[in-house]
Amino acid sequence: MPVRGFTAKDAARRRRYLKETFTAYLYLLPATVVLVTFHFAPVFYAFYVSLLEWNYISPNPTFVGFANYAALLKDSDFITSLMNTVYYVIGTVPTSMAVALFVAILLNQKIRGLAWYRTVYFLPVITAANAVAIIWFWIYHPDYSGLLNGLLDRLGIPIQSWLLDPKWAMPCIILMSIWKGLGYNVVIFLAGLQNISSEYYEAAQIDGAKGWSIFRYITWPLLSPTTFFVLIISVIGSFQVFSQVYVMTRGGPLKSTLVVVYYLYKIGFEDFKMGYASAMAYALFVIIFTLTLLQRKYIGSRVHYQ
Amino acid sequence: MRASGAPCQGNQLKRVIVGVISVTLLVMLLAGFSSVSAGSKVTITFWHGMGSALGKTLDELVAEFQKQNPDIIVKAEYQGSYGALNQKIMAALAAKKPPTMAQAYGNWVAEYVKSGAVKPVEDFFAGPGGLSKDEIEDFWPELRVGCTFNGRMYTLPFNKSVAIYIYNLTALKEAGLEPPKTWEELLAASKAMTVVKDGKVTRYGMVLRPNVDYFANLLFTNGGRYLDPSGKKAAFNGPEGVEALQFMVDMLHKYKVAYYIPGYADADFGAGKTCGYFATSASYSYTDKAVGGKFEWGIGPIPYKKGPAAPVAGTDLVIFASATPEEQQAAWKFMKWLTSASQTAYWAINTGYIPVRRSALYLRQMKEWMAANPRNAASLNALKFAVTDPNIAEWQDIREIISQAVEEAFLAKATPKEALDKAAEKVNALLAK
Repeated sequence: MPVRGFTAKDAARRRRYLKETFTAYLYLLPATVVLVTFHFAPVFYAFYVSLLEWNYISPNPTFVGFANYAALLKDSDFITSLMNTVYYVIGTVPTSMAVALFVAILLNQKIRGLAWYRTVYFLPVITAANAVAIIWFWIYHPDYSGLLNGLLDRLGIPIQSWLLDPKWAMPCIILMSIWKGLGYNVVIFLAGLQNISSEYYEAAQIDGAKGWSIFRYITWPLLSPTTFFVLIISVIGSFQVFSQVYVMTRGGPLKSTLVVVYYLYKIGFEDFKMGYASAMAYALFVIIFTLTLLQRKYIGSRVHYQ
Repeated sequence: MRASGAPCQGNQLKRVIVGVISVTLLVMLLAGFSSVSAGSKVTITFWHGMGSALGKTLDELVAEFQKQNPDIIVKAEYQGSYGALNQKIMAALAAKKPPTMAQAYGNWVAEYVKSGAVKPVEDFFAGPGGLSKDEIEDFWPELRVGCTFNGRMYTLPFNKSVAIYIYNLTALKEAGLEPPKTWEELLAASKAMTVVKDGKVTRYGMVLRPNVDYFANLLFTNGGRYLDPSGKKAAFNGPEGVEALQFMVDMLHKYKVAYYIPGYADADFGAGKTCGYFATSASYSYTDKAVGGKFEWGIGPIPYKKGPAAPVAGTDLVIFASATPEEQQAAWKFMKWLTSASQTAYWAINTGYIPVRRSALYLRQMKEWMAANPRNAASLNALKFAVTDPNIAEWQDIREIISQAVEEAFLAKATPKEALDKAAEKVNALLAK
């Protein structure tokens, strides 16, 4: 191959390249400034705070190194909150994904009033947790006047005190969360489903495939990038559950719904132990990050990309 | 023409000169005024958590103060619930932009004091605008204790309510009973007012909340206290406390005349689901709204076992250290005025909070109001038995620990003694730090 010299054409190309790069960075600047100021800087600052014993207002915080992290391991409330969070994640993620996929497949048909259904399913996602809580408080009302208990009583089943019962409080929160978050997953699954080319289905039908096998051999593998995405996002989101607990139970009864982020909020913004709260935030970050890596490694490898 | 014009011109000139002089004078005067007012008008901000009817009364007081003190502008700003108020104060302190003054609970102030964020009110006691020894001692002694940290008075008590028992008078009359004064009578009244239909309770005599305040009402009226006199050791798990918690557990599970809810009880009371509950004197307006005239209701002191006690809770007024000396002086003037006998009486009459100064009870308007509202007077008369929460920074944690013990006993996860002993152990560990 002949060695080419540095020509004027190359210089022009290089100039254009530099100019384009510069323009690109200029466009990126506003977003970068916002991200750095409100996202990255606090992230690093929080790490620094996690090494302090600090009440948020004292001018002289005490540097304690990794003592806050060590204390976490000995804090029975933190362990409880971690276990409760895992319970919540296991309770919500698989069920929510299965139901969302089912609903998405139903909504993927050509039916009347499709847009209306989609809106209805998405409404709980964008409704404020406080508003949702009012309805669910009534559903879970601990005596006969509650919707759920009224139903049970009519069926002759003994009524429960739901949110007041340490045994039932978490399942109640899980059920409400599945309902509230469903629409989000439905929309993503729906987008994934519509991305699958109809040619595959036509080909399968010609080959005589029916219902379940179409789903098993066409939809499921081709949808797997979407499913994987929903899984990752759901696990991350569920580990950070907060508002449902905040409005419904405040971690009670008897800490049965104390989850990590609610506990973190309480320590940080009610008890103002900023160092300890920041350490907890970092511990949660490490847990979520590790889990995400593991999911990528073990599940991501089975995803079928078109 | 000319002859007639000359005097006219002279007149015009005079007018112009007079005009110019008067305008100049006016401008100078106005300028002088505005420079004077700019020099002496002080603006102070006052953050509080007094919503709805309470906030309205506070605004009335602020307006009255401004009328009497045109050189001070008070910006009274409602911040939401107490939790939100505390969070906003903390954030503002962190940003080094706190208000001039605020309402604050004793255990919050303990945190501010530790960080050097508070200007102690005792710095203003000396001098003509201060408070004499008699005036200081006019504040209820229990309330003064709550304002004192490391032997110095940092705050002044402001909105303090006393715990009360609220009952459905109509139901009580139907049962042919007098308002209960003792635990025994409370139990009897609750039994009498409980209605059972087809094996289901349709109306309860009492509702409880699984929290430290309900427990404290019974602990104190049984002669018990949270901590021992040293303030470093739990005392609530003594026999007085165990009896208090057992009494509530028995109402729930043995006699089944009560149920419990985590939130406020006024809605259930108004709906006729329960015929009694404990609240504070500041909640009259909420109860009134919830009942909406559907039945007669009454209030009385918390029924006692060993002897009457009046648990008192609420916030104090704090001035922040970062304000300028002028602002602090203005805030002090406002604070002193707000807690003076006649203003605290007005505040008490209109909100249900207690007058923070003893002499207020002897004012004409207070006496008249007490004569017209004998039931409110009863809770005020209990003030000589006032008990307050310790004002230590750990108090929030301790409240949560005790609340947890109460909840465990309610759920029958532990006996009252087991639950309280476990809580006492945790509290002692916390206080030993």
